[in-house]
Amino acid sequence: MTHAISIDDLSYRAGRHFAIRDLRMRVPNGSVYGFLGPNGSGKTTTLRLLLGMLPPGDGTITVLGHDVPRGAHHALARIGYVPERLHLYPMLTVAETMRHHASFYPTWSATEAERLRRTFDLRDEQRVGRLSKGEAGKLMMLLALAVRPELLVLDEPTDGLDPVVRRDVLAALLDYVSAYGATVLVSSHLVHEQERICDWIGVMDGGRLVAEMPMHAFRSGIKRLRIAGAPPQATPAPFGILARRAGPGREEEWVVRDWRDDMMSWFASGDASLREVVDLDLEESFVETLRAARDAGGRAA
Amino acid sequence: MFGQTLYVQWKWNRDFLAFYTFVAFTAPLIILWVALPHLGLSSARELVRIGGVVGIAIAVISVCAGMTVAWQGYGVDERVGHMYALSLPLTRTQALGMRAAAALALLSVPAMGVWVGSVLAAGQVALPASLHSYAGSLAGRALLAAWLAHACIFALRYSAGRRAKVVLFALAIGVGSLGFATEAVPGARSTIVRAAEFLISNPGPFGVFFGRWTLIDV
Amino acid sequence: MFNHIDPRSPTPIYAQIAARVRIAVASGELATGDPLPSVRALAGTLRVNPATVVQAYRELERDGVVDMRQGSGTFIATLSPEARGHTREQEARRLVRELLEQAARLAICPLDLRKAIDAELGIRS
Repeated sequence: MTHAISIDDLSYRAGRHFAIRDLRMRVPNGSVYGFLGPNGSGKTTTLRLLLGMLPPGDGTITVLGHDVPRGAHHALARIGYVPERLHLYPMLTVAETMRHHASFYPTWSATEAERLRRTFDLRDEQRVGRLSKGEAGKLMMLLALAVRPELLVLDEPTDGLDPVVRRDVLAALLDYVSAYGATVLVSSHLVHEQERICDWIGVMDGGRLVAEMPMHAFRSGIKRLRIAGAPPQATPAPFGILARRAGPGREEEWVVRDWRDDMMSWFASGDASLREVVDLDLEESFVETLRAARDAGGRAA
Repeated sequence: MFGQTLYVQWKWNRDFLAFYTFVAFTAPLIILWVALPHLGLSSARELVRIGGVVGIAIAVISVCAGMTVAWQGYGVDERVGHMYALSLPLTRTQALGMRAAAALALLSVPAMGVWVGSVLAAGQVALPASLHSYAGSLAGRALLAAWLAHACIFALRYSAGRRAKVVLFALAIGVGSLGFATEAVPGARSTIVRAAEFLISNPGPFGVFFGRWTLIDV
Repeated sequence: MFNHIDPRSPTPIYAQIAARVRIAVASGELATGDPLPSVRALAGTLRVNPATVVQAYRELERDGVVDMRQGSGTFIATLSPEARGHTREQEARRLVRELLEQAARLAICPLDLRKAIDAELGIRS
């Protein structure tokens, strides 16, 4: 099983309209897969479908070799899940929560749990309902990690946390990944954080996955080119053109993908001349990808 | 797993359980104290009257306890949007089974209260030999009534949305039609009444609610 | 030493980490036999993917800067003074390569670039 998660032809309806449409997704084993997308693009719905929390739509979902939702309870025993909002029983204390959670997972490590509790500075007798947002986030990550899962599914795990807590939570996560080689699927709109920790990226928009590839390919392949003297008709180029926009003077700005530096020579022949190659960080690459996908969708419609 | 489920259900319900247990325990005693000055202790008929009041009180308390535990038990999860329960590695059958079993175990506490209270109350009065099992029988009935009430509300809360509404709606229509037919159609009344009598008297399923709560063997 | 990893920079993170180590070795901050942080520790400290750290260490090992010893960790390789000098030379060429790439992106021809270098060096001396 080379993929921790495989999704094919998934469609899901929430009410009248499709929340997810023809989704195909592959999360490779051992990768840290970043799920990026604007609000309402269907990320949380996809995560919930993966975990068997929603009634099945059309298509197939396979998680850790089990068909979901039929075999979801088998897969869930090896998954650590951190949801967007606190989902734990408010009247239990930290210690009671840990004991409750431990009873459902044969792979729970009490020593790891205790170590994380001390690292995160959580006290046994604190009531879950009275925890601050940061403490709640830490507790949820503690529970997910102490299970020693093969797969971690994280929905905005550091959103709304102060920088110190965010650091602690990420450090614990990456420490675990280094030690156990687990697969991580992390959905977050904190693009710069995703940039650090993810080696794969899936971009979701309007219920569809518009891009899925290794992080370095996504980042290095997308560039902004400053072009002068470009002909209005696009001659076939070795790179993909996502967008062409007017620039200052008679310049144009091209946003391209699958760029390699040796492609500069293509501009030697022809009228167009290359003025500058601008690198885009993940956030800009993400925005350009979305724009291009939406324009293409608009043109096709 | 079950132990922890039981613990969570207990922690969530303990205030209600304490309340019901207290009320169930004191009800027989209070009723007896209130009745004692007015009645002669030797009259069997007076004992039956007191027993009747106690029986009704205990029936009401048990049904309330069962319904509360069912409603509250679901409420724990509803408060956190069911996310936690859904993320645990359990089948729906396992999850619901453990919850129901935990609730049934917890409802034995008010039933114990009934038993102790009625033993103490019976101790104040010289009961004839045939009624010595009164306390035990009453507690047993209390437990069954609580369990049945719990089961009804549990089924209501935990059935998957649309199906439950359809079933309940059909039931309501059915009962309503029966009531209407009883009045409107001549001759229907006696059939329906006989059927209803069967259901609510001792061998029928609802007998535990309507049967004689006073004294079992009299 | 590893404080300023910039994920937004066009230089991949693993290359930034490797560059830091090279500079530390070239300047004498790290000596032969000194240990580098474990992959696990560094990934946690920098909050980056552990595969990235592994990639950096592997590249350094390939270039003979470090030894990765199974079970013990990663240590600076034995570098003679000539080798240390060689590393400095490698680092200088790497810097120049980056400069040339940037110049190419701005369409600055090598002649103009050399004039600029001479001018700046003249100012400094």
